[in-house]
Formats: sequence, structure tokens, C-alpha cells
Amino acid sequence: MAGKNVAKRAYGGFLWLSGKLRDMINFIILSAVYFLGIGLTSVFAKLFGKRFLNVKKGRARSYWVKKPAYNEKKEDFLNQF
Amino acid sequence: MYILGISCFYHDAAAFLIRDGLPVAGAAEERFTRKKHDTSFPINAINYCLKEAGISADLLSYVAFYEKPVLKFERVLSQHLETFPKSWVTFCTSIQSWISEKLRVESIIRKKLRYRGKIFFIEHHLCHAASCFFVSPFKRAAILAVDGVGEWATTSIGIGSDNRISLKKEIVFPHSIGLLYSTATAHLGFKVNNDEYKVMGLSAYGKPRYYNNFKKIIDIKEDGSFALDMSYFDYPFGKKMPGRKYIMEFGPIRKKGEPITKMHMDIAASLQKVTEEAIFKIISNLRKESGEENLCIAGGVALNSVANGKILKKSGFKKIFIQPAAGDDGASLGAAYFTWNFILKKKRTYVMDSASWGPSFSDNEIKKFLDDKGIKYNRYRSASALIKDVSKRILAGKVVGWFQGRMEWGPRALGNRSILANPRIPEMKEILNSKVKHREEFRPFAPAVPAWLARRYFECDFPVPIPADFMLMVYPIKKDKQKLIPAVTHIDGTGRLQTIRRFQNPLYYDLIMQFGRDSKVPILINTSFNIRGEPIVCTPEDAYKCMMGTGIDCTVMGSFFVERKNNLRDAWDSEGVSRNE
Repeated sequence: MAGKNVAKRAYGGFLWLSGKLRDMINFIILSAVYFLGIGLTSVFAKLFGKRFLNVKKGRARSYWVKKPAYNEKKEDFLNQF
Repeated sequence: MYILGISCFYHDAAAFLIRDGLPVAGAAEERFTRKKHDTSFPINAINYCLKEAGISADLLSYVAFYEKPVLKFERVLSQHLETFPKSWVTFCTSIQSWISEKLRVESIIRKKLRYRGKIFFIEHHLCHAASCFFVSPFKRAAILAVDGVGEWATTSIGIGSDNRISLKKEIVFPHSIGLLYSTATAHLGFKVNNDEYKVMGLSAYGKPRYYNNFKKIIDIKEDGSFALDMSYFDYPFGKKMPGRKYIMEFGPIRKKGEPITKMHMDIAASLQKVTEEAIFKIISNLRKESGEENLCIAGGVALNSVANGKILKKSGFKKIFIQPAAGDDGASLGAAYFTWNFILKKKRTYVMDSASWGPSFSDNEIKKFLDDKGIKYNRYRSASALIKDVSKRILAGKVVGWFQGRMEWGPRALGNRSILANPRIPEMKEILNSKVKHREEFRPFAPAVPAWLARRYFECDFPVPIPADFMLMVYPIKKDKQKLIPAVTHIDGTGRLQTIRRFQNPLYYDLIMQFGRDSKVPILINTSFNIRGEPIVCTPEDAYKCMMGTGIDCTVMGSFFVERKNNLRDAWDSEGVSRNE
């Protein structure tokens, strides 16, 4: 019985450790993706004046954005974009 | 033809099934998993819907999803690109769920349901628009969809006509009334995407002293369009929504357990005022531009019942419709109806005048549960005996759990999974807040009243709009009636009433009328059958557990009467659960 408990605890500890390791590796890989992918794109795009979000309150008379008429073909609704 | 609508992976996952344009069943996943606002794939809700229809997933003609995932991902990437390097940690933590599930929706649906048919992906605000217009009583109507954010849109306006919807204009992320409200909710120490209604309730206690501070943050044009000054917000890149400037403007974020002060109340009141200003300007402009007399609203902001109650008076619209599940759960219904009416071009045949689309339990099933658990109970011989007895108990000040028929669709308990009490007892609000619901003392309770009697007690629109049946409208209580129903009169003299028509729920309606005969006031307190922090009960077991953990005196399940004091061996204290919420 005691042996079973020890094995159970060891297994629980192993799961915990593997979870932490997985999170750490994910974080390192995603950080690399972030700085190399997102970071470089962002810096270069901003150098050329590209904005990805309209974060500034403008002086426009209206903030409404006209919505383009959507295609009503059935197939278009099968797309995820 | 069966069509299944699904919403999930953001908040309030849900499924809704229709057959030939008529509802079969719908429910939020949280009711089955008992995890409030559960976002996970709603497999339990889907299985329930299929069971209710008596079919398996391969008999579904179409499945419709409530957003276009790739469009949404484009917005998320844009956030990270715009806010680099501040979004580093958020990127690393949030992107994993995109890779593992949000961008794999199609394969998840196919794998979990073993479904091989077509899957439609419908823009989020189109789903919201469809969820309110296609089940409304209107042939034509102006439509407003307003929430935190969908793919890009945060506010959309358009027109619905027969089985067509055309959204004309939109405000896009990061400018969002919903996210402004959520930011203030976080700042006031409440849970985002959960407690916005608490801020709305709190607003009645304050004065809008911070209105001008909010006006610095949001620029509202005469045509209703608006933009936020994003230097006040962290939500485009961080988990914490209020930014440093916001905190400097409104003071430090209220921490969990800290008292709610006058300042917090005033901030809530100011937020509510500025939110109403934006909504009323949008709607008034929509009325002018569209020329329509009917209005349909959907999206999380449409659950702001304080604003809803003023819309007809302020906007010039003659009629209004809001669907009971106006938030993201309701978008699953919208996805299903958009498919049926818009994509398949079918005629509209249904008006949503009832919210009873969830699971029900027969007397046999309830009896089996009670017997299996060894619970002591009595059985009423007839509906009239049940009504008379329950009315007398409520009159005597008892708090009654009411578990009848099909569970409600949407966040409100409307007389199927409700706790009922006497609104004439002044202390009843405190009793319910402290002993039963374990919730903040500032939060009001809803009065339930027969629709044809509502004008006797409330200064409500006439005819009473259908959304009032779904507890989505707050109206002033007539001054001379406020003393009659002190337990449901909010600090500002208003009440978030539920109007009830007999065809919707005969037993509940008859109970209220019987209580009216016994007490001279045909109004009951109706609050959701749950403990704070838990979803509304779904099964007899949930209901029994809830009663035994709270100060509910008795529960009527079907034709069975279960009293707490007779089953004390199962008693437990739910206060700890609610405290840890």
C-alpha cells in the first residue's frame, strides 16, 4: 500500500515536472517566434509607416467604417476568412 | 432539415439546434460542466440538443460556427504587431490556444461529432444580428450588434428585411463600448466577462461625478460613432485591461475583498451614463438613417437592461426586440438561423417568445433521483394544490426553489430554474443576499409580474416589449407602489422586471396570480437558482445540492416538494464556495 502511494506521488511529481518543462520550452520557442517573426515585421512595417490598429482618436467627423457588401454565395460561408 | 449552431472558445460556449426553421433545443455548456462561462467546445450542450431531437450528428444537414476564426486571428496578430514588444508575454500565453484549438475548429467539430457535412463560418456580428432579427416578430427592422469584439467589429448597424440582413457600418477594434465597460469592471475589482451586470447594479448608488473623466477617454460623435483614447488602456497587449493613465484618472484598481466606496459607485454611475449616451446616439442616428420603426439589438452590451429600458423613450423607435441570450451564447442560435434564413433563403416562421429550450426532467426522473438518494419528499396531488401551498409558504416568508419544465436559454432564470420569495417583506433582499445567494448587498432582485398587470406597478413601455419577458428591461417602479414591494425596489426606485404571459409558463403564471390573491400584490421575487459563482442549476441533483448548501427553505421539483429541514443530513455550507469565487 505504502509502495503504491509512493509510486502515485512520484508519478504526480513527474507529471508536474513534465508540465513545467513543456511550458518552459513552449515559452522559449514562442518567444523566438515573437521576436523574430512579430518583432522584425512590426519594426520594418512601422519604419514604412504601416499601422496595424487604428489606435488614435482622429479628427474625422465620424468613426463609422462602411462595411463592404458581402458576397452572398453559399460557398463563401464555408471559408474561415 | 437539422441545423446546429455552435459558439465556443471565447466565453459562454453554447449550442442551439433548429429543425426546419423551428427551435428544438439550446443550452450553454456551463450548465452541464458546472463551470461558469465555460468556453470549451460545447460537447455536452451539443449532445443534449441531439438527444432532444432524437438524432445523431450524421443526421445534421449543416453545422454553423459563430465566427470566422482566421479573420479573428488576423486581428489578434495585428494587436501583437502594433503593440510589439509590450505584448510578448500575452503572445506566449495566448497563442497556444490558437494553435491547439481556435484555428482547428473545423477538425475539432468533425472529430468530436463524427460529422462529415458542411460547416459554415459566419461573421460574429452577423450571427448576433441574425440571433435577434430572424427570431423577432418584425418583418423589417433596424439592427444594432454591440459587444466587446468579434473578429474586428465591436459595433455594427444595419437593416433586416424578411430573410435578409445587411450590416452597413461598423466600429472596429480597439474602439469598443463593451471593452470600455469591461475595463471599468476590472478596475472596480470585478471579473471581466462575468460581472459587468454588477457594475450596472452598482451604478444606481452613485452620482456621475466622473462623467467628464470618461469623456476624456471616449469621443462620441453626433452620429453615434465613437473612438477611445487607447493611451488609457492596456487590453490590446496585456491581460490587465486598465492602463496606467486610466488608473491615474480613476484611482487604484479595487482589490478583491476591499470595500466598495462612494468613489466606486460614482465611477460605475459615470460609466453607465457615458455608455447610455453612446448607445442612445447610435440608436437615434440609426432610426433617422434607416427610417425603420422597429429595432433589434444583440451582443453583450444588449444585456445592459438599465439602458434597454430607456431606448424606446429616447430613440423614436416604436418597438424593440432582444433575444434572451443576447451575448455570445446566443450567437450559436444566430449562426443556425443565419444558415436557415439567409444562406438557404428559407422563409421566417418563428418568433422567439419563450426561453424554455433547455433540458427538462419528468416526474418519473425526479422521483427516481429522490428515491435513489433517500431524500424525504411529498408529492402534490394536483397543480392547484401545489400552487396554493407554495403561495402560502412564500407569503409566510419562505424562500422557495422552483424547478419546473425546460431550463431557460440565456443567462436569466425566468421561472423554470428560479428562487422565489415574497417582495413585500422589506428584509427579504438582505435575507436572500446573505443567506441564499451569498452576494454583495448592493445587488437588486427582480420582480416577476403578469404582463397585463405590469403597467399597474411599473412605468413601462406600452405594449410591454417582449424583451421584458426575458428580464432585459429596467423600468421605474411607480412611486406609490414602491413601498408595496420594497424587496425588489432598487435604490433608484427602479426594478428589472420579468413580465410573464400565461402561454409561456402556465404554472409559474398561475402561482404569481395565486400569490396576488393571497397578498393583494401579484408580484414575486425571481432570482436565479444558483449559488454565487456557480451556473444556474440544470438537473434535480444540482437543485437539491444548491438548496442544501444555502438558506433555501424548500424546493418544488415537478410535482414534488422537498424541504430542507427534513433532509439536514445532506446540509452543507456553500458560503465558502461563493467566497472563493
